[in-house]
Amino acid sequence: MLDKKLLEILVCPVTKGPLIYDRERNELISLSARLAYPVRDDIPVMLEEEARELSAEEVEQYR
Amino acid sequence: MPDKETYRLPPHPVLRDYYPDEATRRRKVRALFDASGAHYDWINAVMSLRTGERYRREALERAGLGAGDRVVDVGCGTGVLAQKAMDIVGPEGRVLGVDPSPGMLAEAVRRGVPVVVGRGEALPLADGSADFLSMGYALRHVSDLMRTFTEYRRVLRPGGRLLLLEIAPPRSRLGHVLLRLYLKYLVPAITWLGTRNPQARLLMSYYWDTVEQCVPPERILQALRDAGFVEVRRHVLFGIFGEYTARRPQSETAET
Repeated sequence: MLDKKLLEILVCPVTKGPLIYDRERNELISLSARLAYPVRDDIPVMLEEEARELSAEEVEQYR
Repeated sequence: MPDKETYRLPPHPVLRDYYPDEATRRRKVRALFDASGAHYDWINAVMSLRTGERYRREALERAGLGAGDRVVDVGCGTGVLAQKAMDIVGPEGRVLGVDPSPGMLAEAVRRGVPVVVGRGEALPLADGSADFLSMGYALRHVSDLMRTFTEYRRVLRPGGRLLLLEIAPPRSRLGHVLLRLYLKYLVPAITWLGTRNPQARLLMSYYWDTVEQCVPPERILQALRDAGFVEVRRHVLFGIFGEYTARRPQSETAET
């Protein structure tokens, strides 16, 4: 579980846009960068090179 | 305010003994830190003869950190500086450690420091979300000082304070030679004897090379001013330990 206060200040490191926390997949979603950042051992991994690219369908789902 | 200067300023040139280019540097340095995390505090304690923790706390206080502050500690590593910051800000404050190496962060978590994996050059934090930003002995490991300082300014609230701890070779020839002997040869040797970990030994040898090759303090001070910081100062202890302090202007027009 990610801390709520932490989620309030986290943004996408690439675009500085907002993030959506997908609890099911345990990922932080940046629609503006079309990237999903993993959360490993309860630690958000906010590195562009570790993020997964979102497909167009996924982007639509999160909208 | 005049346009902020934009230029690239790597903290040190490419060190070909260790890596051929910037992309490889990131990967290799991260791997070195990942492998050394479990040994790092021990090495640091030996290296600074156990005075390091008290010094860090005093440096934070000198820089104006107070109770209730929201702190970001970039390049937090095993969390030594972040933990000192937690002691000072107390329960009303908040400290977040940021570092690219999960191996180092595992130690910070053990200390009770909240952390995220990230880099100073691209902080995953909202504009103006920190009252105080610190970085202890990690400046040499970013890819570009200007990009990093611009990010620090963005994440600090107007009037927020910055503290960078960094060592520089002493100006005297003898001091330089002695520090080189100590950091380049003695510390890696002790590290090897104490940990039997080749990666940790290599990291400590690399440590000196980045110190020796680092851009001079004057360039770091200038880069801070160029990134839009005010009250930019450097306080030096024993001719080696530098404390850079600066503030984000209260209003963007009045103070520059």
